[in-house]
Amino acid sequence: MFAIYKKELRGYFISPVGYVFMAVFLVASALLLSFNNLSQASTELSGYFSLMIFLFVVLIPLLTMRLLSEERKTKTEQILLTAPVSLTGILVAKFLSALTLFGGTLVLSLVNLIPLYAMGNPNTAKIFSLTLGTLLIGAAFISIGLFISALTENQLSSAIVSIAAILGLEVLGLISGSIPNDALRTMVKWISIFDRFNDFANGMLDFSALLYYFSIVVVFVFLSVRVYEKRRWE
Amino acid sequence: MSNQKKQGGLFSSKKFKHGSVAATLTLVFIAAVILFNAVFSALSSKYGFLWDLTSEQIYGISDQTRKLLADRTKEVSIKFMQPLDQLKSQSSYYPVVTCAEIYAKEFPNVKVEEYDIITNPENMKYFTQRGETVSTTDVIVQCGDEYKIFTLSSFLPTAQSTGRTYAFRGEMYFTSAILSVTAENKHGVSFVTNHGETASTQLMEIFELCGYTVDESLDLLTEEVSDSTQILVINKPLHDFQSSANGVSEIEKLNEYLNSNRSVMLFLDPGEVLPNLEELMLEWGISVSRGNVVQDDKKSLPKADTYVICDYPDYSADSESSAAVIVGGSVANSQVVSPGSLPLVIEKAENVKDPYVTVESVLRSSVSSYVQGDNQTLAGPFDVMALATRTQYINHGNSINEEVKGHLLVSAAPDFLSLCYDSAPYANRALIFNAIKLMSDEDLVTDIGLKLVDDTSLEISAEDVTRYTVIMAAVLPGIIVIAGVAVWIKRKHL
Repeated sequence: MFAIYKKELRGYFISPVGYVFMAVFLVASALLLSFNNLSQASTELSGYFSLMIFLFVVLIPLLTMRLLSEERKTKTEQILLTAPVSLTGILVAKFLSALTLFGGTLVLSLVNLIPLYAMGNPNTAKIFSLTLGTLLIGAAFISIGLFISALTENQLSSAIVSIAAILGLEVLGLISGSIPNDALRTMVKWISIFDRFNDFANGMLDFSALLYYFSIVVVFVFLSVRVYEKRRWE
Repeated sequence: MSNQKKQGGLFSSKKFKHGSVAATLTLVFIAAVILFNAVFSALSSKYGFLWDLTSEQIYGISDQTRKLLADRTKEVSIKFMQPLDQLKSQSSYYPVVTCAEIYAKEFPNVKVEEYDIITNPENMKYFTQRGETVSTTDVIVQCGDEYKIFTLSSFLPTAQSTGRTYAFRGEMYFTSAILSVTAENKHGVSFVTNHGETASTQLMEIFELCGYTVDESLDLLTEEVSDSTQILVINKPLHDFQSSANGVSEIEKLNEYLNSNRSVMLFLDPGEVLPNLEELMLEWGISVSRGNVVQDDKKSLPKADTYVICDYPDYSADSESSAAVIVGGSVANSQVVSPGSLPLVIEKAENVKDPYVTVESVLRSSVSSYVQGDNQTLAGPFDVMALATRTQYINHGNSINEEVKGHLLVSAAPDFLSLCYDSAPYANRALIFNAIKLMSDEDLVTDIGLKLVDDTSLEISAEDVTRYTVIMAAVLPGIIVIAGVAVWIKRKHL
């Protein structure tokens, strides 16, 4: 599994994908920080991280579209399916490679916060909480992208469907407050990824939200394994 | 016949059986994950698996609140006028709702309720029938027929200069409200008027926080002091109290009130001579030394030598002195400022008319203080706040005598109350809380301060914004792009 993880991670840096992802992420986060914090003369970062999550609509599919679709297209998935590694191990390795690139870039973007420490007094514990929440949301989106990538051999289709899915989840979070029916609104808010982020944005580390994001990762990686299990035995 | 065979074959095929088993297992797994999350969320709602990461722990409850509310067992409801999830999605109301939920988790007799008064306005009929106007941005703390209404925005005061929220009053408001609505007896404070008194919104707010019902205007010429009034406030009167006017004596009413073992807070204006009122004060052992105000070049606020920083009389830790209560607690560790005060004179015990009255100094100027006389300079220290206490013992027909006390607190610093705002760096506000605590007959008072929220201000110029934006958007991404190009060129030539 570690060999597959290394291979996938190297693959991001052999092709332009990894560099494009990192460069776009860092430029976008720098501009967001400038717009949300520097020009407003504020060290309050809730808005910055909330806006960054909207960036994931485009950035995450960039990472995940080739995870499994490319294997099918280039017919190398047969090698994968017959490898002496469990399917779960293979898919977890692919998930972790994408997560490593995403997480590493997110941590690198925190370098941009240096001016805030130089000229203000931001709350480090809150920044940690927001970063953790953002990382987990990204992990959840990556797992969804992995699953979608498993369903199709076309990278473009995978990207488009992933964008639609992530956008749908984010829009769900935005409109959940407007649902008039109490029971439906409660249900939508419970499954909304964005609503769960609200506690992080207000300086509260919510362990049930951490579990929720982790559960999404587990469910969609599991579903990806099921898709490949089915394909293996067909 | 062959179709039936085919259908039977389809349902009994290995593919269908294994596929259906796989699908079932998948659904069971997903259901198990959802159930686990639901159970954990429910436990989290009940027991609070939350970690407060704010610098001042603004959502938390202090040991002082736990101690104050420990023996309050009456059912209390904290009622919000919008669905809680909608309120929590707004960052300005999130702290209020979260704080209320923490109270509900901590105290079994406290519960949080939500009402949608837009779709169901009849929910608020109880309050509208009592002449209250309730809006969607209000929160009501209720116990039986007693209630207190707050606006959500009042929990988050903003600085006038920046418009930024600088503090959170959640614990202050909720603890004081619960103490107030669960109190055994009603407590009233009346602000005397009709002598040119100055209304003090700060003092009224402090009394409301202490659970008192505030009567903002009491005219002793035309009204009687209510039986529920425990404290009378006379703030900077400009005209004297009548000793007899059309058969009504304000001074007699005051005297009768004080002799009923209730309390008065009196803040005098140095510019006004009030013979009748000062004669009453003298009967209680306190007089004002007319002349100039107390000054101190060494122990006063910068560039304001009449704003003297006071010393506290030396009371021992186990002292039963009433004045010791007023300058105890958080006051003892901080500084009280007495602005523009005349010196007070505390009469010796043998000169006090009422033998049940004892007089103590509460605040004193330092030894470096002085009063500029016409021909000479009088050196300090001077008493600038004094407390006269009348102690009586009442027998209720058994062998136990109940001790009851009435107090007259006098300050000759007319602007003492102007330094009582809640973000002031002085202990004037805490002193008033202690005084109210002394004058109250049960544990109403909370001087739990407001909690400061994170300071999110950033000192940055427009040029710095541009410079940092360019650096952040160019340097790191540029390095990444250069690395990518280098790898691409290297691979191209392999």
